[in-house]
Amino acid sequence: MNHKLQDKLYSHSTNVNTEEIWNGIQKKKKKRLLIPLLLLGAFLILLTIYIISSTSVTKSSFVAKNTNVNSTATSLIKDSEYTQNSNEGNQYTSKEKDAIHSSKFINQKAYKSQTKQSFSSSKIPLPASRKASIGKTTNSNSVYLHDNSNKNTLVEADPLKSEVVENVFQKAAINDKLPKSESIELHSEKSSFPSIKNRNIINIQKIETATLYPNIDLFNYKLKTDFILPLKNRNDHNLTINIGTLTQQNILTNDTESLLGINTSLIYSRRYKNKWAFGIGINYTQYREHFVTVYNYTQGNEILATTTEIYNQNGTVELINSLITVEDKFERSISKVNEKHRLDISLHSEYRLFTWRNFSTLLIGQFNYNLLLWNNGLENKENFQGPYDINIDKLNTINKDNNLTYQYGLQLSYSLSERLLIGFKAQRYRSLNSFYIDQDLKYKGYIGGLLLTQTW
Amino acid sequence: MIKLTHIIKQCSVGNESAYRALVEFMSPMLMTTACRYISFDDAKDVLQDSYINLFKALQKTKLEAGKEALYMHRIVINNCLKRIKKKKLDFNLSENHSTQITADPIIFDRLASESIIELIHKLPKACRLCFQLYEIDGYSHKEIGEKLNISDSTSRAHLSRAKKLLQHELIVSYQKEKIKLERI
Repeated sequence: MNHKLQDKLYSHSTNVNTEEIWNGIQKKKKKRLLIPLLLLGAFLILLTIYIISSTSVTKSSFVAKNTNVNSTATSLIKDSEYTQNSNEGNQYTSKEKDAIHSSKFINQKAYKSQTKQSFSSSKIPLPASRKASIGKTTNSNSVYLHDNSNKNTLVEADPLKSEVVENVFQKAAINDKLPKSESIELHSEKSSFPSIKNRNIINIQKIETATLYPNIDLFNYKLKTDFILPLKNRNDHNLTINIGTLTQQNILTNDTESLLGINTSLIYSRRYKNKWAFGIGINYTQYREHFVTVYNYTQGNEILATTTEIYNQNGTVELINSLITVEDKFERSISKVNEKHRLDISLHSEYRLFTWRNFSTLLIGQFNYNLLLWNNGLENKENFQGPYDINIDKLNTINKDNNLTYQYGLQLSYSLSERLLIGFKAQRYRSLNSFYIDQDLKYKGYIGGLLLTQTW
Repeated sequence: MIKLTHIIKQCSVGNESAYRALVEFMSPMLMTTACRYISFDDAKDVLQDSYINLFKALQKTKLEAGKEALYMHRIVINNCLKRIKKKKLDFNLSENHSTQITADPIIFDRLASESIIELIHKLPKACRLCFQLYEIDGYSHKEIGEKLNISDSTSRAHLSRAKKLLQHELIVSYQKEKIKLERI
């Protein structure tokens, strides 16, 4: 390396606009910050889309299933077998049964409307399994039966001319698990019609296989054909965390003003019979009061003051002093926030009023038993007694008998996914006993809060 | 040098005005270094990148006193080489070359910086790179090989060719000067 050459060239200056360089640096710095922010924004947008689409996918998949089952159920129900006094029973194959049982949600209304339709003039196609049990068929829409007199002769029958017996449905008990359908044989009246080829009257006993669908409680399972209320928040176990603001109705003393407090709880509850839920948990409440007062007092002092001046003729002045009382006026003020904390064990209950799509409204009630209570603010009595003339005990929650409080109200929840709910609740709260020793004053007010529930 | 040390100290603390002062103080010199490798427009871009890298590095590392300028020149050279790598230079030597001839270093001492830069720019790109990195910026042949993805011997060959060409240019320019003076 040539050091002299290096020094020469390293110290050589080229004309350059430093302002331009500096501005370029600032622009590049901003660009470098922008890219990660854009990536973060894109990620949040994708996450939101995923959360929203995961709920809608559930619906559409249910709808698709439902549609398939309806059409399968309908075709199976329309289908009927004709046999010669046969009690073989044209049961549905296992595959067909599975098609019915696999669906969790069935449109009862749609089903009912379909069964009321009269059979159309078109011939009824038979499934392949049935065709094999009957005999030869020349085309998929024709049925060939054995003649009574000559079993080797196949005659074509027109099942449409027969009378259709209306299916009978039986009610089934509703339980949390999906009810299973049953297949029964309904023996219809014997009908007769002439055959085409040899004009012999063939007596046919039509055996229909009907599927019994239980009476579905629409409230619990399905509302419309295009929307299926999934089993969201129908799970048994719930864990709810709630945080809310507390407002007080009390005016404790003339010097006290109530402030907003906090109410938060963690509750585990279990669902019973779909509408009811009972649980237990921990509740924390903080009441806040602003205490402000001014105390005016006077203090008297004796001082020696010149009360009389005597001017003598000889030019002397006599001063006469005497004790006089002087009153000084004082003003003292205090402004303090007193916090009262309560940690309770809670018993919780809720009743589901009604549900619409993913929203549900509940009546909630909670009973709290105090475990621990403490105060912040006016705990040092000595600082506040004396000239203030206030009773600290009156302001503090010294009453240990005051253990019980209760809350009741309404909750509105929204299902974000199958296992997650968010909601808002508005409650009234009251204490069973007075919060004060010598005064009958019960705490009361309102709580408004947000909640998050995880179910499993 | 004391002034630069002081500015660097302030920059390491995160003083925004010190950054500005550094840019104003060092840009003319760093621009010369960058222009030896790439075009003027590209050099401005490289300089901005180099300053951003430098400001980041100053937050984490402490520079040795007296070597701040060298460090900054190195950053600029590295960024220039990154840009050059994208263009994929041909380092294959087509002519026979001799390793015996070397340019006299005294000649460069007598020449002005502008003349030296002008001479260097007349060299082929590959030779110019190797010459600058070795003779001016103090890289070893091994380091040059690593940076340019070439072998040591290729670097040496380009260097010797660069020196031979420089010598030839110097002789030509000296003769032209001589003719001018004679005419006067």
